[in-house]
Amino acid sequence: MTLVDLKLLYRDWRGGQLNLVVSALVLAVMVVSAVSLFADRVERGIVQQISQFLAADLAVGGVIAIEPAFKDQADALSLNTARTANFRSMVFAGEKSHLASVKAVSSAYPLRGLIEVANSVSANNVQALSTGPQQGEAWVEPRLLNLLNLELGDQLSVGYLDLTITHLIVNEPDRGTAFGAAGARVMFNYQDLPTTQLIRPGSRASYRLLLSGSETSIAQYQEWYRQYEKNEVRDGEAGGESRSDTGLQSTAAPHYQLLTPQGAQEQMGETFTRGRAFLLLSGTIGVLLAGLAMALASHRYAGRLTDQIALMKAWGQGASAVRKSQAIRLFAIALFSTLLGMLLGWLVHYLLLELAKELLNIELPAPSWRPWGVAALTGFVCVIGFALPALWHLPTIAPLKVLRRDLPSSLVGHGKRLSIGILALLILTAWYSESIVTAVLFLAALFALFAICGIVALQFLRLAKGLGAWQGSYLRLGLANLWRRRQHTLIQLVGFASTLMLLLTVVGMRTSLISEWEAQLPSDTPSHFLFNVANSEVEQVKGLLQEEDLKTTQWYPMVRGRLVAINGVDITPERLARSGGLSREVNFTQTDELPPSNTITQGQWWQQSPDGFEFSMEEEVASEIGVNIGDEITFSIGGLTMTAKLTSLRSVNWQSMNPNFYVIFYPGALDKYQPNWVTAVKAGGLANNQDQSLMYQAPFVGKMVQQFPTAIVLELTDVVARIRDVITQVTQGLELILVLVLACGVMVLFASIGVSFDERLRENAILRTLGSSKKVIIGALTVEYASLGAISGLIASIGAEIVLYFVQTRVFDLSAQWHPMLWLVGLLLGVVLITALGLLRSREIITVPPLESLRRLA
Amino acid sequence: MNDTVLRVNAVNKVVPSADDDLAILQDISFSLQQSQSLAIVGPSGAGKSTLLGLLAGLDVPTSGDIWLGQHKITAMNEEGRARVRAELVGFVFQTFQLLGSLTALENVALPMELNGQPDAQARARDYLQKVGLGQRFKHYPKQLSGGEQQRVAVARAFACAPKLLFADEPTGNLDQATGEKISDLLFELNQQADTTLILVTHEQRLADRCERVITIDGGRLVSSVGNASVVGDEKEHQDNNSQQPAAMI
Repeated sequence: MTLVDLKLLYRDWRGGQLNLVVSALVLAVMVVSAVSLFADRVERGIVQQISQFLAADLAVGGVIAIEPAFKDQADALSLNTARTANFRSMVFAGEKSHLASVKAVSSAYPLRGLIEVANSVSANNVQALSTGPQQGEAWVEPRLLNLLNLELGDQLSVGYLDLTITHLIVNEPDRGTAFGAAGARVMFNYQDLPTTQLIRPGSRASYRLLLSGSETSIAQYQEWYRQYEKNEVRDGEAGGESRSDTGLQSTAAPHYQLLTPQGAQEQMGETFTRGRAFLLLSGTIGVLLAGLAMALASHRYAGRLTDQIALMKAWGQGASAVRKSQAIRLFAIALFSTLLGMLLGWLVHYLLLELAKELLNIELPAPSWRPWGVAALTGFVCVIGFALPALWHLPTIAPLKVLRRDLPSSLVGHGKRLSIGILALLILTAWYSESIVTAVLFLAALFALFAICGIVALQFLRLAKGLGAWQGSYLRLGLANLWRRRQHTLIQLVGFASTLMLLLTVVGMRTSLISEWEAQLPSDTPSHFLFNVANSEVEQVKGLLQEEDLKTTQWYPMVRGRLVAINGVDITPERLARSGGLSREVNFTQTDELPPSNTITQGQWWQQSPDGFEFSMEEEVASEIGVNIGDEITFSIGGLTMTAKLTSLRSVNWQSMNPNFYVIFYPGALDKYQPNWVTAVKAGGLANNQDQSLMYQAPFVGKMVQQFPTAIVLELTDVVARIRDVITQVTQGLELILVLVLACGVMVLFASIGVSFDERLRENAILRTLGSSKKVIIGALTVEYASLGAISGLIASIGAEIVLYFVQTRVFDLSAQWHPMLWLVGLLLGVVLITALGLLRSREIITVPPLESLRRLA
Repeated sequence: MNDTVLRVNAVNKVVPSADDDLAILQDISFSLQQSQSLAIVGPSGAGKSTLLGLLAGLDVPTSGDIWLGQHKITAMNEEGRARVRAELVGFVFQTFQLLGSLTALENVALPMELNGQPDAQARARDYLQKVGLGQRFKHYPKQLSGGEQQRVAVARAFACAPKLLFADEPTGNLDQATGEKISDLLFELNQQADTTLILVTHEQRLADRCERVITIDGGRLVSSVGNASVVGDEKEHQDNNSQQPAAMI
């Protein structure tokens, strides 16, 4: 029977009865496989890099210099060690400078893996070296040569250190997560680090002590570190600054962490599970629409099969044979469509990778089995959830139907079919997001969106119906059709409008939000930040800026530190993690004047000299970690602790682009930590610079880096350009996914027209027979589809505008702004797309002569 | 009675309706020998097609028994009846019932393919040649005229070599001339294949070509002409109604 079943299936396919079911399924699988292949390969690429990221078996990382005791213990266990320090700094050559990503490495670096270098920008003779730069050498990323107009062998200055560029870095084993570091890499020898004079108390740098050796020694070192952490907690509870039996000053502990490949992988794993879930959930909308299309198309397919099944049964096929035949055919459909969808998804995922390639500067390994599994599951669950219920009744068709076609078929009820469909979606969504709660919430939100779209669409339909009553023949006919088939019209409207809405929202974010934000910045918004200015340099830098006639905001001393205890009780990592702002090292400052764009919301800004240390905190982070006025908070700054009392909470306008701080101390509190200084400078417009070449540099920057090589100048235009790049790449990827989802919406349109196809064919044949011209038929269909498109476009534009309004006012703190272009695009896209595709799908209705139509339907 | 191929005994068919149960067929009894041809005639709504459905095992009577060959199909479930249909029965329908997505050849071959007959294609070709459509193998139903479609249906029915062929108004959708040709074809093939032919028709001319004619009216068998045995009244019998002009039947 199998061969006959496949023959029958082929004949159904040849007769065009399966086109829609298969196309919708292929699309659903394609969307899901493209998205999951993309996510999987990126994730694996990054995890692979993480597994090499230590360039060692183990590392102690810290934001303050690694204490000698860590190395002493490694030496005692006969482990190999190497040191690295990473930080951002200006590097310069002549007049030109660049804010680079600097890394100082000791001679033994790397302990594991190799550094890949080349000797010319174009050459492909990549060498893999097991040691880093010698003293006096700079190894740089090739793009730095372009940025600073340099060649191999040229001099490059880093702080007060002059280096010769000897190699170009192609890859380094511990490049990290490699999300396109903003600055080009400059690597030099650790022994040269002091000469740069870049590292001072309060400088922002991350240090690592790399360790490698036998498994036993590594395990012993890990055990020793665990012991050290425990002791630190015990001593912390005792409340004193003491040296534990690990020989370390315990209060430094919060600044260190033991880095293992497994730990980093776990951390990234979580991030990627979320990222993958997000992408797949956007794909879910596609699956839902494709499922809807499949359900509608399968319903029509079932109608077409009714005669065939009745005949088969009359010829002596039993219900079980028919059921088996159906199962074989459906399995073949699922298998073929899923494989085709996977193949197309494989191609589309390259498009996604292309869009994100600048963001993901990593080598991508082959995908795991998981995306294929997800795609296959999608294909088969869609068939079972959406196609099977529409076909389930076929084996029960009475053979008598060959004589009495009016006999009813015992179709699976609408409610049951809907429930099965939703259950299928729920299974898929839960599998995608790896969380049943997320799946339920997501589907609930999606259906709520559909419901709102549906209610609005119904009102528009009523309006169109009323309008049609007053119009000429084909207008009235077209609008009446829209209303008469309102159930299907609504399905099409909701599917189209919600997808178009998401697409418009994403496009709106990409094209307008950053420009609007820039346009609304006040004219005195700073254009540059100056960091890392030493105490001794502040006056001279002020002088230079005055000479250049540049205005600055207030100067702030700045140190880096973290919170360690509240009212004498250690803060658990979990509690700290509640606050995005305070969970890591943050900048502290001290000032007697409340900075502009800050407002006291609770407590009081200091009026006079307090008894002990006092500080003020930004209100949101305060509520996140749960502290109140009067609480005593202990901070660790550079390994030293101090306790201060919270006396005020502030709201901060982060949009002001002034230096802003979560924690501000009463003047004097930070003096002993030798803070560096920070300010913001207004040198040229921020918004105006966006079109200028990347090589553009405000004139004072050159002088700054020449005279104060250790200071860091951050150009906000660079930052904004970088944000714009990231947003563009992320949204373009999303747009591609949404275009595929929109294609699923087109399937719904096609399937929906398919359901009413025979009815339309008959009606139009009758109209033609009664003397209506072809023009009237085409006119009515055009009116119907154009109205459908216009309503979809209108709902999509309204929805997108509402979402953008909230993003503008709540996320970006901007004043609301209309996006007329979005409305135009939404309306045009809706009308043109739906009219063109609708007419395309209906061409048979128009072209088949009425007599043939009637005969065909007899 | 050894070669009795169809036996109907006291068959009733009652269907529930809004007010009361509706008797579609009442106390129908007759039998038919192998190779005979039988026409079931009667006015619209008399119950002819219902009777045909019962005889072919497509439906079950409310009471009474039907034997097809040696099989008492009224004692069987649908799966059992399906097996009997597969073994003994062929059909020709008023609306042709060709599958639109299949060519003429595929339509004819399909029932044989479903039964796992190895020479399905060859037999299908042969029978299409016999009905004069040797040049139309690859044509789809919509490319064929009504008469041609019915010829395909006739070829499909005979190609399976059924013992009994049930035809429901086989010329009902055709003009008179085409109907004549189809009926010629039907009887010709019937004779060649030694098939027992049972047809429902409004057409007196078609009915007249059958060896036996039974008339159903108001759900009752009101006359039997020819030598179809009426169970319980074994003599050949003819009443006034059978003398009515064709238009009345």
